[in-house]
Amino acid sequence: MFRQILYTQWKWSRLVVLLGVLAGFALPLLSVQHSAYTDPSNWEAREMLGQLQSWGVLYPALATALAVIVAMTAWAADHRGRHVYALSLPLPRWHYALLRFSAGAILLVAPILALWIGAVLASATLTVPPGLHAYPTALAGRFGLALLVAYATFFAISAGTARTAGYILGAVVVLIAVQLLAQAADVHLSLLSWLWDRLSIWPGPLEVFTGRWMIIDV
Amino acid sequence: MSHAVEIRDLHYRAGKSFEIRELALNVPTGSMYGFLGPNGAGKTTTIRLMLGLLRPRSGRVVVLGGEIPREAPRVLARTGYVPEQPHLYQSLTVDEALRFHAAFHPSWDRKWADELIGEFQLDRTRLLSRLSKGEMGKLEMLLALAQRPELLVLDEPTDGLDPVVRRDVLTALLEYVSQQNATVFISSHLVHELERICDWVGVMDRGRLVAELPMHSFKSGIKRLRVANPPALPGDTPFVVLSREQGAGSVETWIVRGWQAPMSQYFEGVGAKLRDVVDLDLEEGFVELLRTFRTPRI
Amino acid sequence: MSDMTAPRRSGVLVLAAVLGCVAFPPVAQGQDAGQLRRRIALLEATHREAMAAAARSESLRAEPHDSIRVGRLTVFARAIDDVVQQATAAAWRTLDSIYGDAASGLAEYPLTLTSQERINQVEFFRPLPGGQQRIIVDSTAEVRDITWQLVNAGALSIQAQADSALKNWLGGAPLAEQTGLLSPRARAYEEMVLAPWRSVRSCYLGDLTWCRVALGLAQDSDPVRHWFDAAERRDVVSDLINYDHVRRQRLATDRCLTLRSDEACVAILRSLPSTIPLPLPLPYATRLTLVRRAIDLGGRDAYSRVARGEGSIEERLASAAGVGADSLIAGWRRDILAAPPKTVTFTAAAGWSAVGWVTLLALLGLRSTRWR
Repeated sequence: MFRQILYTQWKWSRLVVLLGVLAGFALPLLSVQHSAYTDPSNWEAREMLGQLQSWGVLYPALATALAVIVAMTAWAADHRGRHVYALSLPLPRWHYALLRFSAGAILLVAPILALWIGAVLASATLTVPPGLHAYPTALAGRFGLALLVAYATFFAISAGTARTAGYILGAVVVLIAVQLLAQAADVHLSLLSWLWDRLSIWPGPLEVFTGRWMIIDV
Repeated sequence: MSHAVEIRDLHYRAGKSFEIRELALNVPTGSMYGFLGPNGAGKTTTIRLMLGLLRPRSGRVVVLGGEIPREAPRVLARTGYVPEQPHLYQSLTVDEALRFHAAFHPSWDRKWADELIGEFQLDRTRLLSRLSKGEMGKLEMLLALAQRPELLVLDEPTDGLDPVVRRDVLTALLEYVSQQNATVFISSHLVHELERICDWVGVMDRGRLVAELPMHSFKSGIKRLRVANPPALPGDTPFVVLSREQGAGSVETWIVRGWQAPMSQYFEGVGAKLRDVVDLDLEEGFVELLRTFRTPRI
Repeated sequence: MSDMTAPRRSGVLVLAAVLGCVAFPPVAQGQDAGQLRRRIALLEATHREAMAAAARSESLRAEPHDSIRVGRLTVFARAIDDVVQQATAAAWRTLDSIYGDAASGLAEYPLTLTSQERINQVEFFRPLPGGQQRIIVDSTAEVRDITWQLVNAGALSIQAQADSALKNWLGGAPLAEQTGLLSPRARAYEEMVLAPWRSVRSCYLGDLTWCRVALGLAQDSDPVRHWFDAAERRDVVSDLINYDHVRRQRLATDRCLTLRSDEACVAILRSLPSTIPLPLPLPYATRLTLVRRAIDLGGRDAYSRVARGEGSIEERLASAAGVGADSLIAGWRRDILAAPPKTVTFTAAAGWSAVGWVTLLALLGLRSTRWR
């Protein structure tokens, strides 16, 4: 049963997963490409960090993009068929959703592994200046967690009905509208930044997306 | 008599315009139950309610002894379903669709599935999105049959198919039913098709069940009578008068249900004369039944 | 007209200018050049007066009308709303906690909050009465932004009272720093790790003498020789080569960079004008972390003891902290090394939190309804 679900999901999202694998593998290698360190001067260390930091934004962006697409494709075929086929299969709805969720999560392991291998290779090809450290495993770990958090979020949204998605979108629109109105009325209200703080500061779900995404760091 | 499907006081509402009210329906086990009704009558909705794909507001649905939706997975494992619209994953090939479906049905008969593929002349490697309407219809029927169900629920299974494909599909269905003594619930608006294969019939219109009776009663019980000097009010008739229409002179045409030959004595008792009794075929009976239901003219 | 308000007066003057134009249409025929010039001059004068009046009225409009005082901190603003109140209270708490009794000097330096949208050129350059300092904030600024601006301005006012040795050593940076993406100690950690100088590396490895050099605490009259070794001096010259002052000394730079003459490098670096500062082994921001440690150890009056100006900076900091200089510097070093910036690694709590969110969201996904 699971094998068939996994197979269908693979068939629907293989292109994205393969691109994710490629990007995950290449990203750490590209980020260190111009970061050759030559002793004795340490000038390069600072430049290296600056350069790595500029690549850092791509890791969470890749995680989010992959997660969105894989989560959406997990349900796309069912949405198209208005869920008639899935609902006529002889298994409880939660079981079906679990199979779909697990299949997507397993497919996402491939880009995580690719990023880890790329990061290990990237840090092996680099002379790390004294005082700095390579974090290939931590980078892959954070990437994996961010990917799964984003995947679970979009999977949950996509698993809902159009009405649920509408409610979520509506809530976001209302928030933005209230913020804009408050701004126009010169009322000090920082709803969005308050919300962002709740989401991005521990134990918020987006905390894993914050911080310095650098394969080499202090 | 045991029932494969029992529906009691079912109430469902979709939006403001469509409603199913107080629906009660019984499908005898082992029967071929034709579910008739014009487009938009609520046949597909009733089927979806029956299989737990839609949530009723109230009422009770029991299929193969299992409460719906509580026991839907157990019931669906023993039910083959062919929906009105193709619902399979279009990006799969025929072979992949078969494997996918088989994985969820423990009673899947792989050998028979292979035989049906040959009979239906389906290309295993072809994508579902590339199948013609007829091929898709055959594949849907194949999937429903090869899981060896106790109940087959077919929602307009031959709608839009050419006569050859329709014959192939119905032949496979009848063959299976004759072997397995399965119950078949088949909805259609093609009355002639059901006339030949069904032994029970239910008629639905505007969200309500108009009639439910054995096919032979339905076919033989509806007559067109030509009555001379009819009474102004029919009074206590031994049959059901569905409609009356003024003809030439003092002759009226009556459409009646539950007619039997000895009932002609009724007309003598009220001073009228029965000139003619005409058998209606199923379609005519169906049309008259709906007409009466919509605008009672007595 | 004497009791006319500025906006009304400016309006009248602009109107007069317009009427002037209408009443005397620019018909050149029949008029000599002198007449025309006089009329142009008259119109120009009227225009100038109208513009000045408009600027004055705008200036009046932007003038703060209200004030709030928390502790010794006084803030003027056009309107004192909740945000300004909260920010002022928070700013005073911060300043008081850092500067202790020295913060009382703020009574003489009130701060003025001006909205960025309302200020114009005229207003910007007009001095404020009574030694007020202007702080320009965005109208949508939040409490924390305004707090930081007030703290920053207040800190600079207090530190301006210190002697020049301390001011020079701190480089004009305020002790109360904004907490940005990186904490001051994390930034100092980065400097300790990344600075290319032997002095900093040795300090990082635990040599307190080199820590003194790196922090600019050592009593040296020749930083060029003390702060850097010969190779580092060459690096500094090489880094400064784009400055005209250095480039013009072609012979010396050639000798320094090509022939590796340390004397030439020293000569170039010693000749640098004040506009080209010699790079510090550790930046001012790192020095501030040492002062903050001394204040934290020394308690409420610590800043006053640093600012009093008796002895070297090192002695003053030790006296403020109430511990020996070695102990202060060693403790500072420990502090910094214990506060690395947050790297890509994550704590177990963060990891479990993410796993928890994945589980929770997955469970929400599993509740996907069959009713559609």
